[in-house]
Amino acid sequence: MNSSRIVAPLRTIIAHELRTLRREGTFSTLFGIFSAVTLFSVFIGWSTRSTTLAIYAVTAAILKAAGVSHIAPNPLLGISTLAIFNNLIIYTLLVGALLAIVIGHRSFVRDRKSGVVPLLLSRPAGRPLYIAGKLCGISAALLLVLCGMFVVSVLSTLFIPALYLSGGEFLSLAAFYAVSFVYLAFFAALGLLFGVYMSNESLALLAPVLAWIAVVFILPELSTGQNPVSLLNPVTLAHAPAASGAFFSYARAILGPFSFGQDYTALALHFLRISANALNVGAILKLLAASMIAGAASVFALQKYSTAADQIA
Amino acid sequence: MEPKQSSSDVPAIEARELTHAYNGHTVLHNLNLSIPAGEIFGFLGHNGAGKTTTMSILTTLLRQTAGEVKIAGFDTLSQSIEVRKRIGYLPENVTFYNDLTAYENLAYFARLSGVEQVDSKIDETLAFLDFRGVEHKRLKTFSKGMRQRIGIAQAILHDPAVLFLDEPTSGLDPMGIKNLRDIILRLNKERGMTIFMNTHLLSEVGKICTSIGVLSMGKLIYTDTMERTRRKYPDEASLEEIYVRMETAETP
Repeated sequence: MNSSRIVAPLRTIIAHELRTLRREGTFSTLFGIFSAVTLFSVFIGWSTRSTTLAIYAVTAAILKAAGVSHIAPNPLLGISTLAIFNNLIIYTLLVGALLAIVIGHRSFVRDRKSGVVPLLLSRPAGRPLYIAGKLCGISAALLLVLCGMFVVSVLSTLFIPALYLSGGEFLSLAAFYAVSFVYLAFFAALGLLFGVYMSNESLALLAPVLAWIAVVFILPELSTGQNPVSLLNPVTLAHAPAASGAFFSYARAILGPFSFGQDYTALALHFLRISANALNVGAILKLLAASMIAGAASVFALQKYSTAADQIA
Repeated sequence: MEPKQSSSDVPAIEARELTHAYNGHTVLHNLNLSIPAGEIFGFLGHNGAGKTTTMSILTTLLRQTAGEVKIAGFDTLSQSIEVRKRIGYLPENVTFYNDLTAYENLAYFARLSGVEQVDSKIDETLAFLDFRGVEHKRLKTFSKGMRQRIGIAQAILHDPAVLFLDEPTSGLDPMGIKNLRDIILRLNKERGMTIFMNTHLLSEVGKICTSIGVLSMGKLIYTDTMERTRRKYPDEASLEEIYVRMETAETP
């Protein structure tokens, strides 16, 4: 098979996915939700920061008036500007992942419901290219939305007094969105996989949501002993130590590698410069590998699709 | 444009000892079929007889359990890409992408079929179907008959040698059925396409098909030209009566 036989259908399917998402209003909805979430997060971050700074200023003035000569420096001044995006980690972990699942799920279910799957599979492009095109299409959609969020994030800082992003912080913010893309791509691929694999539409949506609950809440809870709410907090394990004991040690060794939510949180904290932990490249590779495995599993699921009951009359 | 045919003396569709089992249940039994190029073949059978399964195998959507199938001389298993280039397919109950326009729907399928001059090909196809002027309307505004024309259009955009239609008249009003019948006849006469049609409507088969096959419980119980069929059953007034007689004779 020459390259045009691969590239041309791939480009066609990617363009089709993006066009369909735009026409359905998915793009504008996603962009609206994510922009609102970004602005909301920045507002909360800015509000918290400015309130704390104001309290410090008032306290320092009172202490000075009382004759205190040595006042401790403002601890907030040592914290990165990017910390105002702190809440984005939770929103991506929760809302972002669920929206990614829906995009992946709808990508195939839309085709199945409109009856075009047999038409598409009877074209020369073939099944692996069809799924590869879908994966690239939904990835491109997520990438566009995240690029939009990045722009909104940068622009929002322009309106905050006495707050500016340095070149390094700008790159760190871009890296945060890049790692968010990898995390969301995994859930989009999972949504697609179950959309292909399960003929029942509701179960096909429920299954990846359960998988999301497992990797974000259940597995980390089993391996750290922390309750689900505390697992959502964007803090490192150093600030919220895991439970000790033989059970948790074993559970951490076995289930820890699948706790993608914790991996994402740790990476996001690193890129937003909230945590001083070293960059965990292994976690990025693990998220990438998980996305690829979910994508490959979708190809496999589609190979089996022709023998599914809905093809037999 | 002439349809993509490997050679005129090669049967358009050829099945040998075609067998398919699903969940341990055999749904097709040793089906043998040879349809010459240029035929309009009506594939008859009651619900669950195995017509759609047969069509799924012929269109490379389903791998048969045993036997061999060739379309325009190409094997459906080992040369599936070559087969797909030479077939057009319209399944039953396709609604397409409602939020896209007719043009966008057709362009998508045309590009996936390897059509190069997409705009001119869509224009030419819609003109052939006497369906111009609707290209930029979204499909959600289309009636069943209009959708069926879009279905035919996507199936013939790449000038296939063999066109597979699964219950094409399903859900159409009498005028829609007549229009579709005319289109099928023109595709066969003007473009030389071989047409394989699953249908329940025996009256339509009698009007347009040049040969028929009858499938009953996964077995091909009859196949011949329409002309010889009428000669074989001179006492029966209609094809419906002939069909009932065949089915009754086959049912244990």
